[in-house]
Amino acid sequence: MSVAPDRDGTAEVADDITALRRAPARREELVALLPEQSPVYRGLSANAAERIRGFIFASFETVGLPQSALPFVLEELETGISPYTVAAAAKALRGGAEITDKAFTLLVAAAARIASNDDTVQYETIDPADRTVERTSALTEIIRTVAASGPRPRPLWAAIETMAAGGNIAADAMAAIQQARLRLSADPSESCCCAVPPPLALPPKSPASPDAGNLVLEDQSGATFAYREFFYGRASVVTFFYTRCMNPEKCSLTVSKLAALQRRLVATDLACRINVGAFTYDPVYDHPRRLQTYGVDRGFRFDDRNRFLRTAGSFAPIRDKFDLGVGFGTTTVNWHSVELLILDAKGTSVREFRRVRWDEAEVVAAVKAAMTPVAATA
Amino acid sequence: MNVDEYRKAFTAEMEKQTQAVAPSGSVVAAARGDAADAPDPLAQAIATFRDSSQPAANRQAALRHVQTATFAGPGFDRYRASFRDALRAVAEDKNEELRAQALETLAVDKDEVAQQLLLRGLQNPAQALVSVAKAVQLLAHDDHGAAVPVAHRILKGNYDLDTKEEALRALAADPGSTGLFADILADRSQPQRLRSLSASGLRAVDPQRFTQLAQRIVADDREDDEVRTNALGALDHLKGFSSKVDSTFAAAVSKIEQSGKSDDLRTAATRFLRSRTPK
Repeated sequence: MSVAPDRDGTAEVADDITALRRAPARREELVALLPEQSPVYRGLSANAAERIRGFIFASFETVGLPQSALPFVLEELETGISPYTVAAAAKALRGGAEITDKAFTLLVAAAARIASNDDTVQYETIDPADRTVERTSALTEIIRTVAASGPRPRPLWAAIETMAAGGNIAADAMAAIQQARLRLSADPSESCCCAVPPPLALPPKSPASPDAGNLVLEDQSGATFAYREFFYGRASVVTFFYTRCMNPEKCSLTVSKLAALQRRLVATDLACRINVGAFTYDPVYDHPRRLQTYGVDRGFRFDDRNRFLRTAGSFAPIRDKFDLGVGFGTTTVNWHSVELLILDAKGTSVREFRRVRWDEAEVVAAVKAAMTPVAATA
Repeated sequence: MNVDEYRKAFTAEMEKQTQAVAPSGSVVAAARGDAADAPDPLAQAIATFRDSSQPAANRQAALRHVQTATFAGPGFDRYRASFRDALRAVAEDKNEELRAQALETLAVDKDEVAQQLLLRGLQNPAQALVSVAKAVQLLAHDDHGAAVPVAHRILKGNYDLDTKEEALRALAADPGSTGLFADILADRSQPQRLRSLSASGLRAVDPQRFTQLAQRIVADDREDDEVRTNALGALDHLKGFSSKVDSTFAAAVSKIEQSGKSDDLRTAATRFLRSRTPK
C-alpha cells in the first residue's frame, strides 16, 4: 500500500486551464475558478492550491484580464507572499486594458516584498519541477509588468530605484529594472495602451444567506452561546482569520488592524453600541486559549461585546452564510481571502470589505452609516 | 547587546569564518555586490554546489559557503532564486548526503518541489530519495501540506518503530488525530515510545481527554512505568490541572511515591505532590 495521497487532481485542472488559454472568449470560466471556496481547491495542500491560482492568474496575460478578475489580482498583489502567485498576478495585469495608479502602487510594493524572497518561476506548465521550460525570476516578471505600465510620476516608483541602488538584485531583474526606468520616464505621449478594453463582467452572484441564528458558538473564554444571542439586537463588525495562517500579510495583520479599529471605535460613542468579533476558519485547532492568546498578542481587548469566536461544529454554516472566500485542504485552510463585514442588528451583512486591506477610518464611517437606521427605530 | 549590535557582530563573525572557506574574496561583500568587477564567489559557489561533475567534498564546501551567506540577510537576496533552483536540482542528485541536505533545506522552507519528490518516493519506493521515516519528517515541516494523511497511513501500515515514531511526531499538532492518540495511549500492547508520543500529542490537541486518560494510566499498577512517569510529568505541567486534582488521584500519587516500582516514577510522584503543597 502506498502511503502517499492519491493524485490531487491538479493535472486535470491544469489541462482545463490550458484549454481555456486558447479560448479568450471563455476567460470568464477562468474567473469562476478563482474563489477560494471553488471545488477545484477542495482537499488540496496550500502549495497545490497556490499553484492552480498562479497558473490561472498567468493565463490572463494571454486571454485578457476581465474586470471580474481584477479584485482577485489586486488582492494577491497587496497581500500575497508567494513569489509564484504574486508574479502571476503581475503577469495578469499585462492582459488588462490599462494599469491604474492604484494597481501600479501595489505592483511596486509587491516587487519590494518579493525581492527578499525571490524564486524562479515558469507558467508554461503547472508542474513546479518541470525543467524542460525556460524559467525567469518572480521579481523579473513583476518588474516587467511595472515597465509595461507606461510612464508614471517618479515618486510612484521610488521604491524600485531604491531597490536598484541597494545593489542586491540579480542580473536578470536588474536588466528588467533598466528597461523599466526608460519606459517609466518616457514622455506620456509616447506611451500607448494598445489593448482593447475587455468587456465588463458582473461579479458572481452571491448565494442566499442561510439562517445561522441557532448556530452554537464558543468564544475565547470558553463561553458557549447561540449566534442570535451575540449578533442579534446590535450591529457588529466581523472579520475572519485562523491562528495557523502562514501569511503575515493576512490573518496576523487582520487581527492587528481589528485591534486598531477597536481603539478607534472606543474614541467614538460607537464602542458601547456594537459588537466586534473575529471568527476562526479553523475551529477544531483554534481552541479558546489559542484564540485568546492570538488576540491579546495583537492588542485586541476582550469583553462581552468584543470576542473571538469559533463554531462548535463545522465552519461551513458561517462560510455559506457570508459566502466567504476560504478553501480547505486535508488538515486546515489551504487559501483564503481578506474580508471584513458589517452586520446589522439581525446578524446579516450590510456592508462588505472584501479582497482589500480595509482602512480603519473607512470602516468606522461605514459602521456609523449602518447604525443610523438602527438608532432611528430604537 | 541589542538586536542590531548582535546582528552586526554575528555577520562580522560569519564573514571571518567564510573567508577561510571561500575560494576568493568575501562572501558578505560579494553578497552586497561590492565586488562588481571581481568574479562573484557566491555565484561560483552555487554553481559548484549544483555541478554533479565536481568532487563531493568541493560541493559540500560550496554548500556550507552559501548557507553561511544566507545569514547576510538582504545581502543574499540576489542569490536566493538561483540557490533555490540549485537546491531543487541537487535534491535528485546521486550523492546521498548532498541530496538529503538539499531536501532538508527545501523542506524547511515548505518547498513544493521537494514535497513532490518526497511524495513520489512514497508512492514508488524505487524512486525514493530518502527513507520513509525521513520523508514524513520532512513533509511535516508544512502543516498545510500532505504530512497528516501520509502519517495516518503509516500508522495503519506495517512499518518499523522509527518510522511510526516520525509519523506520530508529524501529527503532533493535528486536532483530527485526537482519537488516534487516545487509542495508542490506552493500548498497552503498543510500544512505550509510541504511547509516550501519543500522550504528548493528546495533551496538545485535547487536554481534557488527555487529563482523564493520563490519570487512569498513572493510577494503574499494571501499566508500563515509563508511560506512567511520562503521563504524570505531563499532568504536572498541564496548565490549570493542579486546581482540579481530586482526592482519589492525589491518594494514588501518594501511593506511588511510597511504593512505586521505578525510581523515575517515584521521583515524578514526589515532584507532583510537592508542587501542590501550599508554601
